[in-house]
Amino acid sequence: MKNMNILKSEDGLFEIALKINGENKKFKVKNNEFLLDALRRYGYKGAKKGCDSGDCGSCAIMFNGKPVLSCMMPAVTAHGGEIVTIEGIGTIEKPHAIQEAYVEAGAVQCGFCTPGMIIVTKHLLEKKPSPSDEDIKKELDGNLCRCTGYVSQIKAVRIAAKKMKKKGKK
Amino acid sequence: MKNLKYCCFPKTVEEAVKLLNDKKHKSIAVAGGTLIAKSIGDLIEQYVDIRYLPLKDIKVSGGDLIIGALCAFDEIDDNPLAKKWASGVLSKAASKCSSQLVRNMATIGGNIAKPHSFNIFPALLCALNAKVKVAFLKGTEIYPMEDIYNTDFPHKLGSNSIITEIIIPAYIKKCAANYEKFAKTQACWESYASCAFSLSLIKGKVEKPRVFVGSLSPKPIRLEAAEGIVSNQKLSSEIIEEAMEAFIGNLDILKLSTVNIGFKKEVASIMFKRFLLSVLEGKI
Repeated sequence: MKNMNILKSEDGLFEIALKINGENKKFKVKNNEFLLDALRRYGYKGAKKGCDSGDCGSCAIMFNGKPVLSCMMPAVTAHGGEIVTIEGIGTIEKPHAIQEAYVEAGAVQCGFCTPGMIIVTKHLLEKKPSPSDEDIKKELDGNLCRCTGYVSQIKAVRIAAKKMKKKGKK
Repeated sequence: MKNLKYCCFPKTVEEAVKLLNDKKHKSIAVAGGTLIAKSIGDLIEQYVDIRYLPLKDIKVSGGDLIIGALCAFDEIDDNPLAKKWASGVLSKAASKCSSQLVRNMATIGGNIAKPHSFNIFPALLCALNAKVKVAFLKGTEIYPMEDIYNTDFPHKLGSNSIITEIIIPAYIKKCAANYEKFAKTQACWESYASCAFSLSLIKGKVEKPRVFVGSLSPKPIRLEAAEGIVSNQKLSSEIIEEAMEAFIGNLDILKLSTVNIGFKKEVASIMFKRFLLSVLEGKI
């Protein structure tokens, strides 16, 4: 077991190393902390704390290539992983095609659920560049929105698929 | 979680099992974490993060379908081999678990190692006559799926041993099988009733039927009386009605104390009837 990675906490804190939005980072996380809280504490506030029980999807981030619920992941277990948050997808100055599509479709109202929706949409379009409505509904079934009624998000994903095909963008 | 002192990332099953059996620290295996992450008590001092163990393959070996315990629900849902087996019931069931975000994280091993009424795979894998390979300190052993829920099962899954593989026997490939869940919404983890069935049709006669009910108790319930009615019979409307009565009678004997049990039993029996009717009509 010589080469195995074992993290030891000191005064209730673990030091974890991870890649976040393409940058190598070291975080100090509490032994009872979840990844969502650690990310927000370090300034990645795009992921939102909605239900804190894995039901609403507003905390979704990409972990090792898959959208996951960061409120359900003990922070220490993110050690060695690769994370993409909404901050790593696009900026106000240079939005991603999916973000543009969400604005065009009017799929953003209060905006609380939007980062999670965009993370999930990105993963869907990477897997299936031309998803059916059923595919979209299935992929977004864990992202709750209290404002829009979901029709506009489905439309947004359709627009995003077209935009991304046009731009040949990932 | 506040007493957590160590987090280990083993690379082999042997390392993981050694860590779990480390007498110095109370340990727990964590994979997807969706069932346990929020309920890990303060006694736990060591996480054994088994997510990176090489247990993610879905393959056919010796005719049997082997599913690595760390396969996430979405991987089973999308897997071409899983789609081919037993009317694609594995993929269908995996797609019915909660939401996509949970399906991306939750693993089949965790789903059966931590039994809960609303877990999908315990009832389904029992219905598919599956076996599980368990790794413990002294080696590995294969057990029938149902045995892991017996009180005399010799291992504590996730505490001193881990499930490494799920083995679905070759004969199941051609079986008619189904999994049904009745819940508030499709993305709802909680369900009022769920059932899993499998049977072989040999020259028009039902063979090896397996009928299991989930949701009504933490462990899947086998309904042998209902199986007995259809076994070695050609399906007909009369046999199906008789099997349905046996199904409800079987549940009555168990004296389950769940809320609205009468309604749930009725729903479950209708699922069973629908399954038998689809077999009769050649839809499955």
